[in-house]
Formats: sequence, structure tokens, C-alpha cells
Amino acid sequence: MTNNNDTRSARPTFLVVDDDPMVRKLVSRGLADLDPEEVLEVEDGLAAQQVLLEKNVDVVVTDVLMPNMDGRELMKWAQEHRPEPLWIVLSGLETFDAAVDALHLGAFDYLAKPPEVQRVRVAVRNALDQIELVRERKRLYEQIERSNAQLAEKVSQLVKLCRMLEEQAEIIQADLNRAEIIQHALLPQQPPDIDGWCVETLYRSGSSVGGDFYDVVLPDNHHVGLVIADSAGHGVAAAMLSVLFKLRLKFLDNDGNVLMPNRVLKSLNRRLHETMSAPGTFITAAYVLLNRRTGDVRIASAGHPPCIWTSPAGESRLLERTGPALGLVADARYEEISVHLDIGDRLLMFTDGVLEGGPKSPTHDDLANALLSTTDRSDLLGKLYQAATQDIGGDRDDITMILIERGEGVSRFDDTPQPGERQQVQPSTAPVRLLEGVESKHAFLSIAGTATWIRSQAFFDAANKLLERCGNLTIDLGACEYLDSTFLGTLNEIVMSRPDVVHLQRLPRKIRALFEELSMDGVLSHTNFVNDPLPQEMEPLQRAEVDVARQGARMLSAHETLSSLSEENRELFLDVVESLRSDLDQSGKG
Amino acid sequence: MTTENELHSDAVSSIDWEVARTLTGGDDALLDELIALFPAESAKHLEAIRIAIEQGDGPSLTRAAHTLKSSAKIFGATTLAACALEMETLGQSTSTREAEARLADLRTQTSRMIAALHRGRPEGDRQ
Repeated sequence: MTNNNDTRSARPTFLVVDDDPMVRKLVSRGLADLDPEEVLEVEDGLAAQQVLLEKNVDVVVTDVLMPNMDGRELMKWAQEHRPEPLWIVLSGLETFDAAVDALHLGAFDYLAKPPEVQRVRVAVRNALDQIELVRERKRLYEQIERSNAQLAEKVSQLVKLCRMLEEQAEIIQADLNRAEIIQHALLPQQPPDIDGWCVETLYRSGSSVGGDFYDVVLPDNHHVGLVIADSAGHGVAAAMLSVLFKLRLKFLDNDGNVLMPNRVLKSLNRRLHETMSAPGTFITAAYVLLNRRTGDVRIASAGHPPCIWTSPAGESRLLERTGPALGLVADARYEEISVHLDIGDRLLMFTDGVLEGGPKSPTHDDLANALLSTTDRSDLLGKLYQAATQDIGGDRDDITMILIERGEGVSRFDDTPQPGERQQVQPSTAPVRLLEGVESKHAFLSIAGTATWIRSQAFFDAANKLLERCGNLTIDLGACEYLDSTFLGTLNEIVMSRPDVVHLQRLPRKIRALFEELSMDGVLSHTNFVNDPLPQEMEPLQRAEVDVARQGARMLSAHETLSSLSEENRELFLDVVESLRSDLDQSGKG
Repeated sequence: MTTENELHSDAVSSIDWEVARTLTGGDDALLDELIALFPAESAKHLEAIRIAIEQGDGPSLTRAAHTLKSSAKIFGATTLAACALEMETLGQSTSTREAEARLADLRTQTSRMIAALHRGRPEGDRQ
């Protein structure tokens, strides 16, 4: 306690200022009991000035009336030049006014003269306690200021990271937009001219680049080939599969003879199986070969939704798949179905986006009835499309339909959305709602709206807590609009840490697409086929404070998890992971 | 002039050992040191007072008398303290003539007190 800065030792230094050596002795005797570093004695104000300039004094005990420089003058000087020490003034009754004056000058206490040893001890002890309090308060203030500065720094780092993630999202979106343009270019531009036959098509990609593909070809003068395909998944990977499909599609054998549909699919399957190595990548496709003269049709279908045949007499028939989807089995075989098309007969091929879009999507029967109705052929597909997309708020799958009818008329390919029909991808801003509930030892968590890194740690903690208490955990995503990468990684960690007991359910298509894009196959394989009903009582997750360091660690862990899933992810999140890692390293050292 | 007998007759009453013991917190060694210091210190103050009177220096007179008073109070010497206070007050007046007249009395009281200190503390007071 001999310094005003941090090098101050724990023992105090005192200065006694009095011209009477007997009074100095009394005071010093009282101070000696306080375990001082040093007790300095001088006999007037001038000498005291000198000591105060040279030493770091904690407490000064001074007389008022002294030769050369009195106590008041000394205190005035010290206020300006040495403000650190506390002052105790010695005063007789006659100099009481001077003592009050000294208190006004900031003296901590005063003692009657001559001072009792005991009272000196008490007064100076109090002064030391006061010094300690002030020092402690200052230390706490400094600590708070340091913490505030660190917090501000962390927040700015998180903001920076968010911006980086947003920028990457923009880059990805720009890539998707370019991919969509390229994919669009794969589609046939003009319908071929076929006497006695009309072909109508309708193609609409989903909210991002899709995996549907179709073509209408004339392999020779006698035949028309109609092909429709749907790649598994969504986004760039699915679009690339469409490209691969088109590249591998062969309608003629090496001698220029028309290949039958079962042969076309068999060869396509073999070629695609060789090329597609990633698990979960496959294509469903149907190939229709029509003899334009006779009206005889041969159909082979690789895991594709059924084609529908109708006649003007009111007959209809579903033409089901004749073999597995392409790319799954090396030497798959495909059967063929034969039908004959007379005047007015119709044949519809479509992708599953027609059936699976929303609550009011048409069924097979609805489609057959539409074909049987008197609806004008040129309006038919547009109406079916409207029915398929009715009441769909968010994302939806690609939709492709090909209709061929025996009869005269104009063929038309429609792959451009009408004004107002185009689906806009709006970044979802629905606020997140995280709920938890338990029913018969089965825990539930539900995610609604847009869930981001901000609540990821809270969600992670809640999941682990529920898993400690309950045997099973189901995470319901029915009302989920969007998950950012931290939340996706966190979900991956939760599911894969206890794959035996954690399941997801009610994945919206767009959330499934996010999982697929980030190769979260493990998580996808833990999706319930039958949905568990949520408990009646679901409670919001507690809004516990999560400190910045834990939040940073969560972001890092989530992105490391995603990076471990695929080489693409690793490259995608390389910057983010490195940046988070260095931030955490620094804060660990700080 | 004060006779040797007069000094002795008042010697005991000029000191209150109880006051001295309270001030020093029962520290006999400290009290002995203070006793040893008083004769020289008081002589110094008396000399300062004499010079201040001679030079007509009121503030110095006040200060020296104030210090002597404070020393006297350590031993509960109320008579000497009263004399010193009187002198201290006179230092604030315009003339030092009155002070000159009171100096002899101050010396006498000081001598009495020193004699009492020489006699030492009464038996049983030492702890």
C-alpha cells in the first residue's frame, strides 16, 4: 500500500506532520500497530511536501498550526500535486474552525489534540479500509470496462461472421441462378412437326434450380420419342444429374436402328450407375416410343410416377413403373407396356411435383378425369398446373407434364411462367419459435419460422437436457421456414450424437433440400415415416443468456460438423471455420 | 522568585497521570520517552516565546505557546496548559507587553511540572 498504481505493496506508508516531537511520538505509536511499511515523521508543511513528492504515502496525519507551512496550506498544495493520500487532521479545541476547514479541503477525519494512541489507531484503520474500498471499486470498474470492450469486440466479430455467411449465401444463390439458366437450355425449344399428333408440354422449375427434364425427339421418320425424368433432390446437384441424363440418353443403336424403351432405359441405367457414385443419387424416368403411323406405343418406366392413358369413350388406365429408378442397381431390367392410341386418345406423362405439392394437389383419378373432360387440350396442362400449385405458400418441387393426343392441331411447348405465376424466393423472415414438450417419456422439440445461430446453443442445450431425461427425442420441422448453417450443423450434431433415439419429422421440402445440399444424408436417414403427434402442452424454450464465447464455440462446432460431411462443404465453410477458430484461440489467450 | 518549597508543594497536583496513561494507551515505555522529552522541548518553546515577545512577533508567540500547551496536556497539566493558552491568545493581540508580564508565570508553571515529572509516577501507577 505504498503506491498509487498497481505496484503498491500490501503494507501502508504513513506520514506524521507535527512540530511537537511528543505529539509525533504518540501518533507514530498508534500507527506502529497497523503493520506499516514505513512511518515517516516531519515537523512542518515544507518538509512534508518534500516527503510527499518522493514517497507514495497512504495516510497523512497532520497538525494544523505549524511553523513554515501550516496544515491547511499543505493540504491545499497536496490537492493539486499529490491527491492520492487520505488526510487526518490533529486539532485542539481552539483550532476547531481550522479543522472544519481542513475537512472541507477533503480530510478524511480529525483527532483532538493531544491524540490518544488508541484513537489514532481507529481513525487510521478506517482510512485504510476506505482506501481499500475505493481501490476495489476502481478495480471492479476497470474489470467491467474490460469485459464491455471484449463483449463489443465479440459482437463485432459475430456480425462480421454473419456478413461472411450472408455473402456466401449470395454467392451460392447466384450460382443457383446461373445453373437454372443452363438447365433451362437443356430443354427442347421447339415442338417437332408431327402430322396427326399434338404434343403439349408444361415445365415449371421450383423455387430454385430443379431436377426435372423432358424431351420430345424424332429418332427416325416413323417414331416419336417422349422422355420425362426427375433427378433426386434439388439444387445444383439435381441439375447436374439432369445434364448427365441428357448426355447418356441414346435413342438409336450403333447401326442407327431405333432402340426400344426397355433397351434405352437399361443402357441409360448402366451408364448412370457407373457415373453416379454418391449414395442417394438416382433419377426416375419414363420413355414412351410412339409409332406415329400405327398409334402403337411402347412404354418403359424407371421408378417414375405412372403415365395415364384415356380414350374419348371414357376409359382410363394407369401405366405403372416397369423397373427401378436409374442409377440404383447395376444391371436393372425394364419391362415394357404396350398401348394403342386411336383418334382422340390422350397420354399424360408427369413428374411427382404434380401430385405432391400441397393439400389440394390432384390425385391420379383427378388427372384421369381432367384428361377425360371436354376441356380444350391447349388449356388442360395450365389448369392441372394451377390445381397442383394451389395453396402452396413456400417452396415447391419442379412440375413437368407432357400430353400427347392423336388428332390434328398445333403442338406447343410451355416452359416459361406466366406473369404473376413465377415463384419468387423471398428470404424468410418468420420469427423463430422453439417449443419443447414431453409425453410418456418421449421428448419433442419443434422448430417454427427461421432458426439461426442466435438460438442454436439454446436449442442444443435443450436437446441434450431432454435426452438426459427421456428415452426418445423427436424434432418436428413441420412449420420450419429456414435453417441457417449453424442451426443445420447443430441439428446434425444432435441427431448423429444419438442416432438410435433422435428422429426428425415433417420435413418441408425446402428444408429437406437444405439437408440434401449440405450432404446431411445421415440426418435424412433419421426421418420418421410415420409422424408422432406432438404433445398437447408444448412450452417455449427458456431464453437463457448464452455468453459470446459459448456462442462462438457453437458456431465453430456446427461448421466443423458440416465441413466433415463432404469435400464441398469443407471448401464452402473453410473461411468461416478458420475465422471462428482464430477468434476462439484469441479469446482463449485473452 | 519561586522557592524550592513552593515547587514541591504544587508538584503532585500539576500532573494527572491518569490522562497520560489514557493517551499513551498504557504504554509505559512511550510514557517514559515523553517524560524524558518534556524538559528540553518546553525549554525550547519558552525560549521561542521569549524571542517572539522581544521581537513583537505575534504569530510565532501563538505557535510556540500552542505547542507548549499541547505538550502540557499530554500529562494533564491543566494549570500550565491554561497559562500557555493565555499566552497563545495574547499572541493574537496587537501588543506583546502583557505577554512579557505573563512569561514569568509560564516559566514557573513549567518548572513545577518538570519537578513533578522528576518525582515520577506514584507507586502502583506503573503497570
